[in-house]
Amino acid sequence: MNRDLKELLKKWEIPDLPPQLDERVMATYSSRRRQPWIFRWTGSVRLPVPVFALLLLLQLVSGGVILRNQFFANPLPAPVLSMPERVVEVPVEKEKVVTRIVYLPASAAGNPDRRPAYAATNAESEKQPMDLTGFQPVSEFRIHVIKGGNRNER
Amino acid sequence: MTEAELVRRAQGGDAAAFLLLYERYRRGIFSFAHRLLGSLTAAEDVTHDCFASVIGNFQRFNPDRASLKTYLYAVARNLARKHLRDPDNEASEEIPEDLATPVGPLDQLLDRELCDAVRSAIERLPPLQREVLVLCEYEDLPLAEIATIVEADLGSVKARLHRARTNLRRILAPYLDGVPDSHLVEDK
Repeated sequence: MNRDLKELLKKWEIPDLPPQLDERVMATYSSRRRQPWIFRWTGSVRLPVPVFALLLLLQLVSGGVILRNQFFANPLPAPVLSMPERVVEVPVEKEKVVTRIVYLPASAAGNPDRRPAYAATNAESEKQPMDLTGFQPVSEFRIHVIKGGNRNER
Repeated sequence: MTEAELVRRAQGGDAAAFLLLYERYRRGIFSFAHRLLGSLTAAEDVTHDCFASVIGNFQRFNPDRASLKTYLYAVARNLARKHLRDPDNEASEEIPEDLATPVGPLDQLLDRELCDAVRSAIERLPPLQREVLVLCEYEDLPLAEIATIVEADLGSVKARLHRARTNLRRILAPYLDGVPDSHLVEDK
């Protein structure tokens, strides 16, 4: 750059600073200093876009997981029917199963047609005479009532 | 005390440190804004808004990454460009009283005329050329720092500066040819 142009440019002088400028700036500084909490309401945080996207994704995923867990842990309760309670007495027929031993005469033992269906069919037990020596009836007779329809019923 | 230490103390709430920084740069920022906008009141507003922006964002400024001077000029430049883009803010032709009333000998009249001519010539430059020329010729900033402030590469800054000087030589040709030597000597 030629020296003449450089010297010519220096002819443009700037006036002094306006006196109110200092007051305005210091007033702004003081007001901001007195209210540091203002940042909590008006402040902003700069985030790179990838970080923001990652945070948003994490937020969505975690929110979805929490909602899913809450739904399966506490399913919708069954609707409660508000019906008045009343007590009804109904007759219950108890079924009694009695086991008994039937002794058949020897003549009928050989003929299977004359034996009842519930008679024992063990051939050896039929051939050997029963020894009742020392037999004593039980002092207490207990009857077990088994409800019908049970598969384990004997 | 270094500038980085001053900045850290100001960030910690030290009003005296902030005042020192403000007094160090207020004149440069005001001059820069005034030469870009050509208006005293607009320059005052931009200077105030520039420091207000620094006050509001001081905690985020890292003195180890950039100098406060560069940061301030960049903020002022953005505010000035925003001001220029606003159609409500027309360039003012206001002239301060102390400069508008020429009194005294003939030299002062000639200085006044040269001042107006230079001012008018710089205002006729495109904004991108004007800001580069002002930062280089009036604020004496290195080209690398100017490139940081105007957010351009070094080559673009050099090209804009060259075009600005060429335009100025063309506009100020009558004054360049007729500048009396006495004026040049007086400024030294």
